[in-house]
Amino acid sequence: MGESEYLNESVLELIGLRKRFGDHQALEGLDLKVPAGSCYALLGPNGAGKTTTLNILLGFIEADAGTARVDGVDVQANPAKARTRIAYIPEQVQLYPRLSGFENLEYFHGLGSSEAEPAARLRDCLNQAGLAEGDCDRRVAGYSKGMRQKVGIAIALARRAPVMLLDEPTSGLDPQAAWELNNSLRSLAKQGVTMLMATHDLFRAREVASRIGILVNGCLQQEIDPAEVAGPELEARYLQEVQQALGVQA
Amino acid sequence: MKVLGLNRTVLLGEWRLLSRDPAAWVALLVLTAALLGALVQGLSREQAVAASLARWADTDAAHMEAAADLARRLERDGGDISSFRDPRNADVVGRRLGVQHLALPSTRLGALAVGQTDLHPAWHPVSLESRDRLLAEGELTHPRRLAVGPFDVSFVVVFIAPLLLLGLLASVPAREREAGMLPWVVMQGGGFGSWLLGRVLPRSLLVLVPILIVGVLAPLLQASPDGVAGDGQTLVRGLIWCAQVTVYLAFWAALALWVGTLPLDGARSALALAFAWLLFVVLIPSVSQVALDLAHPQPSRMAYVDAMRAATDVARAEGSETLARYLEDHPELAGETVDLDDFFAQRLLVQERVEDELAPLSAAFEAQRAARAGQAAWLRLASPALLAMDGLADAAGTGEPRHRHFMDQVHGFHEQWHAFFAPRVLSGERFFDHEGVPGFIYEKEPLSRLLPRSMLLLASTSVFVLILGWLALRRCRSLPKVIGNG
Repeated sequence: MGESEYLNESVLELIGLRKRFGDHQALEGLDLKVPAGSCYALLGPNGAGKTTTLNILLGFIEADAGTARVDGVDVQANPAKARTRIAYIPEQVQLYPRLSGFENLEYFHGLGSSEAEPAARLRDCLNQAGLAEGDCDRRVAGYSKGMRQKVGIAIALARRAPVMLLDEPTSGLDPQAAWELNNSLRSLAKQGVTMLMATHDLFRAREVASRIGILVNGCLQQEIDPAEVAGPELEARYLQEVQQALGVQA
Repeated sequence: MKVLGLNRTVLLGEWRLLSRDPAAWVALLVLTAALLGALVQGLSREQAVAASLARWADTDAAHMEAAADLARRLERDGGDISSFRDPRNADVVGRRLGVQHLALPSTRLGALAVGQTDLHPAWHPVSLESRDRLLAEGELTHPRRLAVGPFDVSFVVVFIAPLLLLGLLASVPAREREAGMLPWVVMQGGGFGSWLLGRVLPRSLLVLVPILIVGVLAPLLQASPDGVAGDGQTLVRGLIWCAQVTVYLAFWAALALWVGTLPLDGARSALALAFAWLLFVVLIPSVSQVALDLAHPQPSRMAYVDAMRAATDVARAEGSETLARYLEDHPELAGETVDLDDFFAQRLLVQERVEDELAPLSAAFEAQRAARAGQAAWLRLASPALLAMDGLADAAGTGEPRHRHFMDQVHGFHEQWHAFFAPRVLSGERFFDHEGVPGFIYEKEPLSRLLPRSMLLLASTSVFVLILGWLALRRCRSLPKVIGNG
């Protein structure tokens, strides 16, 4: 299979990924494929291995075994190159409070870019991410968490990366901000960005993801097409998987 | 876009962050105030010393001229005058009326480093008195300086500037690490090490640049007694001084860089850097001093004075016997005019005999001092602060090596003075050669001696910088540890 064909099929691919921290087996042979232009939501309880999976893809942690590929690049072999294909939005988007939203975007975008980006394009990214024009030049110290998330998305957009990794993106957001975030993510998916999202939020995951994986104890227990299940059924299946895997009586 | 290999965006962002950080402004204000205070202190001291030296030079010349006039008048008109004040007496001229105050001229950077002027005074009297008696004379500076202590620009550089620099760098990148920003920063690409350097460099420049400005201002503001605007040596010394400051602050920046790559939070990072300052600036110099005192104690001045008194008593008791023995050894001096009861001849010879008696003790003291200096040269390698102290004083011309160069000339001139007056005192003839007494011209220490010393000090500090830089680079390469996930 040629690389271009591969790219069209799975931009993100995890094969038999294993990772152990002391006595804790964080990942137990995780296999996962995310096709190009789709959004994959990784659901799971705390300690299921979601963040570990993201950290391996980001090259911050080395897997004990298995392979992780991003846009055809082996992460273990070439983490720096793999990172150029990824935009990452952490759970808490932390920005420099003394800089404005625009200056933060300019700063973080400039870290990895050898050429200065036109200001108009950066402002466009902020607008696309949903940050009001009047807020762009205000200092971030006065921003809400939702506004910071939007700057985070703008930074990701400015990178023009084919893959976006999101770690609990709706955590701590009010419903309005979470709804706006989902709209932005859907818009990104339409633009062909491949997304892997680690989350606890079943409802938001069902809204935005094209596929949901339930991860418990480092194993992918079940993959679900959200279009085929209603919200309550998704919750029931999730709880069943979690309780089964953890040996809890329903 | 890259500036000197660093990301322009990081530099611009860092500048924005610094300009909006009240702590940075406070640090800059404190540094500027300390530097200006120290510069004013140094300049006023240099001015006072220069004025004193000029006054002494004028006074010495006036005294000699007055002595010559009086000698001519007494010879022409006659008159009574005590032998102890008679300008026709070679001993009186050589010992009292013609005393020369030899000056170590400032390098025009003296205001930057006062140095140990209590140990290394900028002037030295020369007469027929013994060298040791002359060494016991005090320093010619304003008593206010003694009260204030050596608060000079070098003090600010060695003690205060590192504290301010570490204060500015302690949160880099600890704050980002605590906030969980580091993974995101690394994700943007461009290299963690490059980003960190881009953050550390502007903060370091905030401390370095004002010091360098003061370093340039000092020689321009320092009044030159001869009106010369400085020479090539001033320029070279200035460059060396700036290099010493830069390398010394680079050491602290490299230390902060390395600590920044350790998985420490802000409080621990600040604590580690504060301890490093205490270690290198206070503890190691103090321990070095104690080790030096244990290994090579300071020669006892009291023992030397006791020995000198004992030898003087013996020589005086022997009185004219001393003079007779001397003339036996130097028959060419035994003219008809020599009187074995001549007080002046006897005093001179007693003094010479005391010097001879004390020669082995002086040699032992000198050997002890040399051993102490040698040990101190090794011990200073333990701390960049010690290296910087020596380096800055040496570049400014107030260090021990230039003073020793001056003292060698003083000793040479003392011998010349003695050789000129001693035969005239012993012959007992009337003295009229006031214009012929030796004059002193200070010969500058050649750069060929200064440069190797300075290069050695710079290289020694650079070794610290390179080691810390290498450690930091190694940490930056092991990314997970830097980020704190591993």
